[in-house]
Amino acid sequence: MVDAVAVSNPPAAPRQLSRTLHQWGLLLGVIGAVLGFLLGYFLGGLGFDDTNSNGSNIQILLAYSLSAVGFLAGMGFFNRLIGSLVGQRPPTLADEAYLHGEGAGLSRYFRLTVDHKVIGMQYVVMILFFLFAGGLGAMLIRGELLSPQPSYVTAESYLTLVGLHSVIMIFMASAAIIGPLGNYFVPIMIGARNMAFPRLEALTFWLLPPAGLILLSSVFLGGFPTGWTGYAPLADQAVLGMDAYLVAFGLIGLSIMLSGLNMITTVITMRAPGLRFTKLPMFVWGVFITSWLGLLAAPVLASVILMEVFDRTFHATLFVPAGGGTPYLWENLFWFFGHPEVYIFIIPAFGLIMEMLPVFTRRPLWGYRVAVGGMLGVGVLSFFVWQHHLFVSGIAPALRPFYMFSTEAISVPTGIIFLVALGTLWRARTRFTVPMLFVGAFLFNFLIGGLTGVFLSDVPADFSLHASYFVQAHFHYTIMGGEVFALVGGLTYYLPKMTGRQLNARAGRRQFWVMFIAFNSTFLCLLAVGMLGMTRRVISYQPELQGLNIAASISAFVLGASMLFWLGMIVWSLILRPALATQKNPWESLGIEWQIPTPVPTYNFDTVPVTWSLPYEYDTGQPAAIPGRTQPALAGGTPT
Amino acid sequence: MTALPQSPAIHEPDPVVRSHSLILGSRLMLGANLTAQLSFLFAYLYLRANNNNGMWHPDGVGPPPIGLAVTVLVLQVAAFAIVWAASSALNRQPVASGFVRMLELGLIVGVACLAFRLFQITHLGWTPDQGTYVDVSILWFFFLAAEVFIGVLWLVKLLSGQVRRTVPVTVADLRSAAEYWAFVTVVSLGVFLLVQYVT
Repeated sequence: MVDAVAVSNPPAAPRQLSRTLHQWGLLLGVIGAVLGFLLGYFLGGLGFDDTNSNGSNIQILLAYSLSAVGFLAGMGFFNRLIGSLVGQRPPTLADEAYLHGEGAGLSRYFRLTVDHKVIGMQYVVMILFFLFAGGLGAMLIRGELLSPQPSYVTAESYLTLVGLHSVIMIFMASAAIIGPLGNYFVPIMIGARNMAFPRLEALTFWLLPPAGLILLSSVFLGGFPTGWTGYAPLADQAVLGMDAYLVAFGLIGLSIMLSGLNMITTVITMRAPGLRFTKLPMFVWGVFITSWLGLLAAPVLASVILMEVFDRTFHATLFVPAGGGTPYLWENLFWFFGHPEVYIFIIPAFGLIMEMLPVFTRRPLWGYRVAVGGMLGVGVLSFFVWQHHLFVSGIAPALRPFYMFSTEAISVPTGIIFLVALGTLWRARTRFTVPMLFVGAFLFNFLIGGLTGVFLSDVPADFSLHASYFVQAHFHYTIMGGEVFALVGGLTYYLPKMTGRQLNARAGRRQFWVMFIAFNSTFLCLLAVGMLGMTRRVISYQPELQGLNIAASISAFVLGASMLFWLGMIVWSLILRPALATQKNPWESLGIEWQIPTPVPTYNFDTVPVTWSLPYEYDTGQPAAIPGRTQPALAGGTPT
Repeated sequence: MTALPQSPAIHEPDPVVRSHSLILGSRLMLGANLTAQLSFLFAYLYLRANNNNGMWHPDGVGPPPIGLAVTVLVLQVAAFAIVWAASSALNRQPVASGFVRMLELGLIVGVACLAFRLFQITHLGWTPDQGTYVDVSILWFFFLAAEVFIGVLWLVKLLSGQVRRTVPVTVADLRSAAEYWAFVTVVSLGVFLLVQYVT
């Protein structure tokens, strides 16, 4: 259904419905932290506190929680809620224009805005910051492992270092593709002018900076010894840094859930007229399926974190066997979230890869519906495999075969996705641009990651390889070799649309090959040391494994340098390279996102296209849709 | 980075699409809420089945006082029924204002429900170190209290917009709120039965 377009010119003097980061966000964040600390002190005096760690958990938890609330309040997230509670008039069109950051220049990137493109760019910066923060942790870990005995880090600090690296990277990876590229491009790809819930979209972003800072602050409170999985009862006994993990992960979970809700609603209700599900771009499908995983899995994380907070703060014993609890409760609930979380990382990468593949092979995607089915299959099955993480820790033996087969079954839809990729590549006259190189690397790396995963899903193999570097290398092959390679390729592909600047192709090729070779030489070595019995999260190892570890560390340093070079290329392009022409479509893509001007107008389309075809008609050269040549229509509308 | 060009006009989403989005988003939130509730249900049944160290339900720990528990449940059901009736009234006659009285009554009953729930939590006579039955139940009651609090805030928001004529209540607004209250009521009923009788 398409009604009239509500269009009017913005009146003057909008209300200040959001504040900038440096004006109020940080200030109220600090005030919130102080208030939380004092409230915790008061409650501690009333006996609401646990005594099994090195200080007052409730003070730290409340300080962290209220600092996040204060930060969001300072950014203006509660203005509208409070306004509506007291019956204030709703935002005018001028207020909305202000919230869209119109005419605000660069300052709009430092405040609450509801323009999905600004939020996408905010995500880019944040994701890169945490990618490199986590990467620094990786370099420190590899530096320490040059020697089989502790050198510059103590065993306890090493655990915190590994934990911080892993949680930062998980945090980064959960939003790495959906955050920057999903928020930026999904509304455009479906012919909408914005997301269904723009403020919610902004909230999903602004929840993450406090989460990241809280996480990093854990080092000042003794860190956390549990790694990213936060296993109880170790988490019950851990020092105050564990509270930072709990609050940060809670905020991340909330962000994942709300992002999922918003994306699903946007794709279902905001699609342009004529855009059926069967014509959605693959990237939109990837984001859509992932959003369901986030929506349904993240609340389980929130619940189990609440339980852990209850244990640490109120003398509860949900995870303490002596008090009637069990650590398996944490393991079950955490992995019910944790395994779909892995697919939250990778399914958008599948979508992105299949979005780029037809562009560079100049062929329609081979088996579009099959590929969508493959991604759906991976998404659904991801909820039925979590207990394979408990094979060694002691699930009922009768359950093992089911979880072994369900985990192995995931390789079927994943294989289908590979089949679609290979079918598209078959006899194609492929253009080996930099993004295409990353597509190829994704397929290569993820194949290794996937095959090693099949080994690990096998119960006997898992018994001997569990907690070894084999698992760690498998995981990195899927997430770094899969998602991060897709992210780098995707950003290289979409940067011209997002910024009007293109990366240097020659430098990009060199960076790609260094990154690809360094990545594989790092993690192939780690697969080998894992098979030879080196356990992860342990600072010392057998001296005979030092050679392979040195090779892995040197490769990792080269990998880190290649990533820094890539970052330098982006900065150099943004500052020094000339802007592309407004209508420039450097990859000759048929996707609708490339048919609109660069930079993309605030509301994306003056007229929304109503005639859509699959965006991969490279045999006919027919674009997915051409905006501006059809009748005026609304953003969104019930699809016909 | 190039500055964005000035857009000549503001495009406001279609109210129909906005209503669809609100209802769908609200239902998706209920779906997410459901998985959180299922986590608590899993914890309850799992810890009960494990009964480690005999500390699921040690001697001397009984279910919450039945009178208070029933009162909370009755208030919850009443608040839901009133909000649902208000939603139906608005749906039947979108221009009439009779639903406002019902919403006000629903708000009062909702606040009473919240107050009694908090009173119940503070008068259970339990402490969290008395076993995992107590732990899960207290945590679940807290969670339900938070859910009722959100429902109350939702009603306040609708009412203040309607009464001050700044944001009139729409059918979609009220239907979403009513569905939310229905969900919380069903969960409260389930928790009541579980905590009182499946100990």
